[in-house]
Amino acid sequence: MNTEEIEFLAEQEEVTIIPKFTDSRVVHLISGDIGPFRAGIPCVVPIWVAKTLRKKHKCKIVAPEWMELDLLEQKLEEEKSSRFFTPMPSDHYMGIAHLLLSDDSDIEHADRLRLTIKNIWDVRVAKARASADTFLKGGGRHAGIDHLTQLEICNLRPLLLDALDTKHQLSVPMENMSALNTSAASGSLSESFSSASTPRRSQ
Amino acid sequence: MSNLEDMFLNEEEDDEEAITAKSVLEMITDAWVNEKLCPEILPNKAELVEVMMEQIDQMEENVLQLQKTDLRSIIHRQELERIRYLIRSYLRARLEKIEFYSVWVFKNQSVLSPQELAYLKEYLSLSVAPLKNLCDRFPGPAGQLNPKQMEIAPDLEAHVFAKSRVDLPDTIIVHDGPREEEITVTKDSQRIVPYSCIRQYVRDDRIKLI
Repeated sequence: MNTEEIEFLAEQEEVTIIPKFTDSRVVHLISGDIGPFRAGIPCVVPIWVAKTLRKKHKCKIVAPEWMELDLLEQKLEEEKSSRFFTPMPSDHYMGIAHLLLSDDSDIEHADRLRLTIKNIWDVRVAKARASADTFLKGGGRHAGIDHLTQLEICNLRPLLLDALDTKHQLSVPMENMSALNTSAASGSLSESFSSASTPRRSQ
Repeated sequence: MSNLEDMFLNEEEDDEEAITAKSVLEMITDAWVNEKLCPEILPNKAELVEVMMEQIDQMEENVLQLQKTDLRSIIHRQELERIRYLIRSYLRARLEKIEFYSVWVFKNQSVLSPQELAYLKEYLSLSVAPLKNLCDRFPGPAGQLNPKQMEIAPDLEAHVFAKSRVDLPDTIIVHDGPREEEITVTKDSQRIVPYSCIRQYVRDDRIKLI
C-alpha cells in the first residue's frame, strides 16, 4: 500500500456538507444512497463526492467534529505526555486533513488546524520510529501497535518489516537454511514438468 | 423433502437479499487491502468481483439514461471509475503474485479463480517451455533444469501489520527460534506478527492486514 492508496480509502470516509443547490432526488450510489440535497441544509456524503461538488462550487464542506483547534491541541498534549499511542479521533485523521484542509478550504483556521495536526503526526511518527528502534534491538518477533493509523504504518512499513525479515532470516539456524539452498536434485526433469505441461496438452 | 428444499432455497434467497451492494463493495475493499499486503496469494473472491461487475453494468445502463450534464450522472460516473480502479488494482495485485510465484501457485491452485488458473497455465507453458528448450542444448549438469530451484515460494515468515476483527477463541503462537510465545488476540487490537502465525485467520477473514 502506498500513500495514494490510503488516501483512496480516506476518500470513502463521510463528511458533512452544506449544499448550495436543491435536488429532491436521492442519488442511489453503489456505496449507499446520498441526498436529497436542500440548499443550506447539511447532509452527509463520502469525501470524494464532497470534493467533486466543492470543485463545481455546489457546496461548502463542514469540518468533522474532531477537527477543532482546542480539541486537537489537547490531543497533541496527550500524545506528548503518553508513552503509548493514544487513540485518534479518526483512523484517517491525516488523510482527511490533507483532503479537506487545502489552501482554499471552507474550513476556518485551516492553516492552524493543519499545523496542529502535523504536530500530532510528527510526535506520533517520532514515537513510532523510537519504538521500532527499541523493538529491533530488543528482539522478539511480535509487538502491539494499537491505535497506530494506516498512514503511519505505511510510513513505518518498508524499513521496519524489511529489517525484521532480514533479522529473522539471519537468525534461522544453518541446518534449516541448507535444506533451502542445496539443490535436492532428486525430481527428474520430465517428472516434475509433466504436471505443468499436461493442462496444455489437454486443452 | 421438498418442503425441506423449499426452506433451504428460501433461506438462500433471504441471504442474498441481505447482502447489499454496499457490503459487497466493502468486502472487495478489504480483500484489496489484504491482497496488497499479504506475502502469499489469498483465496480468490471471484464471486464478489462478479457481483460487483454486474452492478457496474447495471448502473452504467441507468446512467446512460441521465443527461450528461446532470450532476447525478457525474457523481455516478465518478463512483463507477473508483470501483473499477479498485477491482483492477485487486486483480492486478493477484496476477503479479501469480506470475512471480508461478510454480508454487500451480501446486496450490485451489485459491485461484478459473480465469486465473487459465492465465497461470498459459503463463507457465510460455515461460517454462523455452527455458527447457534452452537447457536441453547445454551439455552435462548445466542442462539439468531443477524445478525445485525454479520454484519461488512466498516467505510465510515475513512480518505483517495485522488488525483483528474479532476476539479470537484461541491464542496465537509465535515461534521465535527455540522459544514459543502465546498471544491473546482481542477485537480491534493491532500487532506486528509473522504472517505464518495468523495465516489461517487472514484466510478466513477474521484478521485483516493493515
